[in-house]
Amino acid sequence: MSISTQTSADGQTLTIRVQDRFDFNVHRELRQAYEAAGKRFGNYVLDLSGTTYMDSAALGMLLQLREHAGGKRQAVRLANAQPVIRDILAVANFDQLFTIE
Amino acid sequence: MNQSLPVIPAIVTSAAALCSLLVDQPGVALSCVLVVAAVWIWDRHRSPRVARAHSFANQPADGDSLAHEAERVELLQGSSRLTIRQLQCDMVQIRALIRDAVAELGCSFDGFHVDAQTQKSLMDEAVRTLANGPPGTHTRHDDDENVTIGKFVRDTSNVLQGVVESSVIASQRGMEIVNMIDTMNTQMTQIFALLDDVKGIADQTNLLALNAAIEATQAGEAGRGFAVVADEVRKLALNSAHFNEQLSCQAEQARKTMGATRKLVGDSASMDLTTLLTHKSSIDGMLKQLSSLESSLNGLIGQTASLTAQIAERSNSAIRVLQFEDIVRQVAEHGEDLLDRLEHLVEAGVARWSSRTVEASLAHLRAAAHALREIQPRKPARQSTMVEGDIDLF
Repeated sequence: MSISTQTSADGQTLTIRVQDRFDFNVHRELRQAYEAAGKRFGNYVLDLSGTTYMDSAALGMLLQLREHAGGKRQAVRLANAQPVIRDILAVANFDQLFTIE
Repeated sequence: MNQSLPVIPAIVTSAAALCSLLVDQPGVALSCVLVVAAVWIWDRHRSPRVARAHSFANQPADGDSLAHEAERVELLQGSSRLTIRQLQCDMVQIRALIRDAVAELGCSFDGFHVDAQTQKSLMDEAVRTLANGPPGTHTRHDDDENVTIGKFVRDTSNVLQGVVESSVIASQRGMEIVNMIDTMNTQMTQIFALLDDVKGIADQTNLLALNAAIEATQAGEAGRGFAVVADEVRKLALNSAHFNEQLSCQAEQARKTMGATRKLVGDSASMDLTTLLTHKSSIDGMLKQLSSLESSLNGLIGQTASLTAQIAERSNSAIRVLQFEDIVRQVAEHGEDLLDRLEHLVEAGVARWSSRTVEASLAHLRAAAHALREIQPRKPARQSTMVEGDIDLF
């Protein structure tokens, strides 16, 4: 499984970890990961520390997650991205749509 | 008594020797002739009595000596006249040469000046073009801005950004379609469950009809009509099962088509961004180079423009310096004037020598020598240097 989730102690934040390739193949899994929990989370953290590849489908999925989370910049945080992934996020101007840390 | 005697041969010799130099160096020659003439006159002026005693007092006593003296004077007069004429010719030639050369140089520098001005305006135009774009490229939609390198770079960056953004949005739409297909897939699964239920009902109906047929057979003649009904019901159950099977088959096809569509949409949504990143960074590099090209072009054109201004300034000073022709002409005219006077002096001196009395001759010579001395210190040109005064185009 390349997707794993973790709920914070206060139950407010859902952390989703994407391992290796973040592409179309993880779509169903990712969608299930955040839709199964409903809309009860105020914050979503995408831990990209283990992500080595990201395509445009992944960017589309991130936008879907953003809409799911309410469409605010603070709602989804992209954390621990490696330089290659960081470049892709910068090219797509995702720093204006997400909190990148 | 014979003090003045050696002077005349000396003058003649000097004049003769100088003759050879005169053609090559008219300036020096002129000075020499003036010196020779001055010495000759001064000598006669200084000791007129001695000269008279030598030349005329002894005339009846020494006819040979007088004849020699006259011959020497005539020799001196001849060579002086020749030299003076040659000098006059040279002076005229020098003036003509310098006038022509200066006129030519003036024309060249004028052209130079005009070219430099043209070059300067071209350079200004180039700077304007770089900053505002070429003239006449206004479009109807974009009246305020012309095409410049800077604008091209900005526009290209924006276009590139737009391509990236629209591809991301297309991916998002694709993923939404995939979501919908997944939802439909779930709904299809429910349809399959329902179809299974329908199949179960048909199977049970078939069994019921079979049982009814058996019961009808056991009832004998009385159950014959019921057996027909049971058979019809069984046929309906079999038909129903058949339709159910066909429905399942069609639904399965639809599910396969949906799966293919999902894959297709997924593929089109999945664009490899590493290539795009490579392209974008190379385009960014090119744009950066274009920007630096623009700034270095601006710098070079600026330098060239200031050089052009320098060239114009230098050609101006060159034209100013060419006014030396005026000074040279005045010097030459003064020289010619001197030569004319000298010529008159020589001609008059010798003419009077033979035709008039000694006193009259000497008085005339003195006056002429005095006049010569009077004009010598006069400054020939009003202006001695060429830096003063502003540019005066010829």
